[in-house]
Amino acid sequence: MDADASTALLYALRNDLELNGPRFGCGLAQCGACTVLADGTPIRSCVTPLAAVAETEITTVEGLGNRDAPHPVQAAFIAEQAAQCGYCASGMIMAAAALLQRSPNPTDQQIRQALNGNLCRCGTHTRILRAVRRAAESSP
Amino acid sequence: MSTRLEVTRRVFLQGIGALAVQVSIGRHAAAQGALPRSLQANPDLDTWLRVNADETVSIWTGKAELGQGIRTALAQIAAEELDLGFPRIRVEPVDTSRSPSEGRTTGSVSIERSGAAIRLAAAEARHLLLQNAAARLDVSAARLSVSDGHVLVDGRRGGLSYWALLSDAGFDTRVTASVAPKNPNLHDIVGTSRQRIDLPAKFFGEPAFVHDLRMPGMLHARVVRPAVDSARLTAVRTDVVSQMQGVVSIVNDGSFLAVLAEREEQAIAAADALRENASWEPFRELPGENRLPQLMHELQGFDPEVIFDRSEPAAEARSDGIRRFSAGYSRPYIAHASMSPSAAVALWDGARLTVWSHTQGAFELRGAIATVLDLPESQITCIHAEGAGCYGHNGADDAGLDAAMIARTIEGRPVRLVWSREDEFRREPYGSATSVRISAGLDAADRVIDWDYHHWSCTHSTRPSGGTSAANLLASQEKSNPLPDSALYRVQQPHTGGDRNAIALYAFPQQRVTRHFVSEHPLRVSALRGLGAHANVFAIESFMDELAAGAGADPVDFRIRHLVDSRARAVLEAAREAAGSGGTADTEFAAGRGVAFARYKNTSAYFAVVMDVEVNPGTGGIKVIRAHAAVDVGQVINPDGVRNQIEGGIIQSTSWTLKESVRFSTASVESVDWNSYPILRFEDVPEVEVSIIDRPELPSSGAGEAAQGPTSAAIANAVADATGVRIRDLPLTPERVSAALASATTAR
Repeated sequence: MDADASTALLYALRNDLELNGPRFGCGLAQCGACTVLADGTPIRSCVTPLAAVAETEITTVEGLGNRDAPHPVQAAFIAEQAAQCGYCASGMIMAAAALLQRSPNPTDQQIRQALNGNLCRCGTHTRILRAVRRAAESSP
Repeated sequence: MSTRLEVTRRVFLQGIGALAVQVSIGRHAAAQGALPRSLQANPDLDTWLRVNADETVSIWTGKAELGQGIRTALAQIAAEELDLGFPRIRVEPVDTSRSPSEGRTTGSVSIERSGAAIRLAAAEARHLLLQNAAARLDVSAARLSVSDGHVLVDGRRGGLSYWALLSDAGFDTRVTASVAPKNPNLHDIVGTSRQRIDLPAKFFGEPAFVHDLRMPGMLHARVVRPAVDSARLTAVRTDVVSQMQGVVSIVNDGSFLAVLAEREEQAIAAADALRENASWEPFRELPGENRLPQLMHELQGFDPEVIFDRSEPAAEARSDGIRRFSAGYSRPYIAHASMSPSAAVALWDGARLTVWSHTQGAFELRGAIATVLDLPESQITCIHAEGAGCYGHNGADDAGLDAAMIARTIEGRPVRLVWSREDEFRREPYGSATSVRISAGLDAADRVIDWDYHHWSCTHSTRPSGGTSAANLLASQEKSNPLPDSALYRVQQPHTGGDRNAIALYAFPQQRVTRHFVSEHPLRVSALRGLGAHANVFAIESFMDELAAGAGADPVDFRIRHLVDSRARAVLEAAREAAGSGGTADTEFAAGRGVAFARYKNTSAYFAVVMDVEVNPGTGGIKVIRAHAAVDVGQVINPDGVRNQIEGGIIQSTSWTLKESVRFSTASVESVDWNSYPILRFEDVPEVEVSIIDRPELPSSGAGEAAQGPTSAAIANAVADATGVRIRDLPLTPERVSAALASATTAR
């Protein structure tokens, strides 16, 4: 990759690796649209320099699953139709996947807290909550 | 009602395996004037529909996917009329070189207009194909039916399909709208909750948005605009920035300033550096925000105009026993605050300019760009690519022009221009602040006998299009030789949107509505979801509750008493029933319930909602616990789609109601990020239940703008129920609630 070590991970993922999952929403780590997993932990790729994740495994929605083999969270988002415009969705999915990895049976309150840093302007929150609950219930 | 068709059969053999039958439909067909407007404007069937050789059917629409699910709903309509499996429909993007022109995607009329056109076009296409098949099979068309595109003779496959009949040819005929669409009783695709066709791409990281467009040789651009509101660029030191890594060029035309770089982060860094190396001279001051809402009465405006004045002769002229009520309501400037800052991709190849934009109006944007750049429209193609939810006129069109102006400086290289979060907050046109005053009288029978409504608001539309309103685009004013800004202020038309839903649907014997059009715009304003309906319904439905309280009446019963429209009564009753009896609060907070109702535009969707809140008397904090809503959109195309739009409308409006107002100082807008313009988060989101009253025999209305006004009023009504205190100015912040509680206490 021909990027400077100080380049924010978001632009390397989107422009060098041509990934679509992580999205530019604010560039200020305020909205969560850029959320990816660094060794399983959600991070804001818009403010994380490449240098900080040099030895880290980065996961985006593309890495979670695809149409033929969806991740349980992705399958749940489809089943609950948990999006309106969908721009916040990949960040939500990553945050939810990380939550279920560390806490497979979260309470409603725990889900709200874990996703509280992810903004949704369309107001799809109730569906996203249902999707996360559904994914939790469907996972072994 | 279908008319008897005359079919002349002239059969042409065309290519191997393909048969084209020229069918002319007798002029019993609907008279031209009876055609829905989208078909009048785009009469060729081939504009709307194409049978593809790969056993799919493409449909074109002039309406854009904004996240409201319109592509899916239109695909359902087409699949239903064509008797095609739903997965076979492809919905093509809005492209000015190819798509029907149907006006912008606004006003919640996409199903009404585009859906109606596609329904008729698809029904007619099916008919023509069956006539084809009947001729080819030499059987009566009455014996034919269709299953997933296969022609059945007496219920059995006859070996013909849409694809065999047409191959890759077109219909080459006009839509006459004389073929009756399918009876709603027979629907099995329309009226079902088909899954959104656009969501898998968004969940799996496939390209879905304009930001995902990648082209060979593409460069990254950022615009540079000052922090202060309106300013002229007086100096810029480009030499410092042009040496920065990856910078390809700096674009400077008057006050329009932008930078092009090889890599996106380089463009961002260069834009930041340019901003620091530029000097701007402000040319006007803003009023202080603490002058709202009174400010709306102080700005320049047109003479008051009575837009509705109905007076029925009183059964008995009684002036005794009438109780008078009056109140003033307001809402501040509200931001669209889209999740994605506006963006566009543009390419100038020396002869043609192509712009990919999440605009709500691709044809109008093309016209506006043509005017600004002095290029013929025939040399410009505008293609819709999705952005995040826009909720009206946000920065999308401006980003389109910005990208176009930048692309024109570098022939042959595609340019992707993305606004910063600060750009989006500062520069987007907001929903206008509004002030309302109402006074009404209640007679001895607790009925409203007169109602006098006044509202003060700026225009709710400064949308750009070709001609003078191209001046509504930011860069058109910033560049050297700017367009005359005549469109911004010289608004003569009454249809500016501020009076949307200003006329109450209630059957008052006397109702007068006066518009005070504010022609001065200290802050940039344009269409935000619902337009004037949000403030007007907030005011009307808050006031109805105040009147109900004055009458000692139940708020739902009081409204129903004044409604003759049975669909209106039905949504109120359904919402009330769904809400059941409120539980007693399990907390030390004050619990309350509020209801509100409106029919959007008085012609569109019916909506009622009951909301339960808790108010913390110590902090003034309001928590919305749950909402029970009922909606009637006529014939429902996709129930889950309707539900999604209503849930979203309720939650978004809850955010508007509790938290939102654009902050500004005398120098500039101060809401520049999510910290300075907070919106509702997961921790504060209510539970929402939506019930839908489906009326398949009635025309469809859109659901996207029905919930905004009633939600705000229902919350304010619930707060009044919880605390005994009425708050009339949005947003209902903890500070405002605390102040209201405190003054209520001291007043006792």
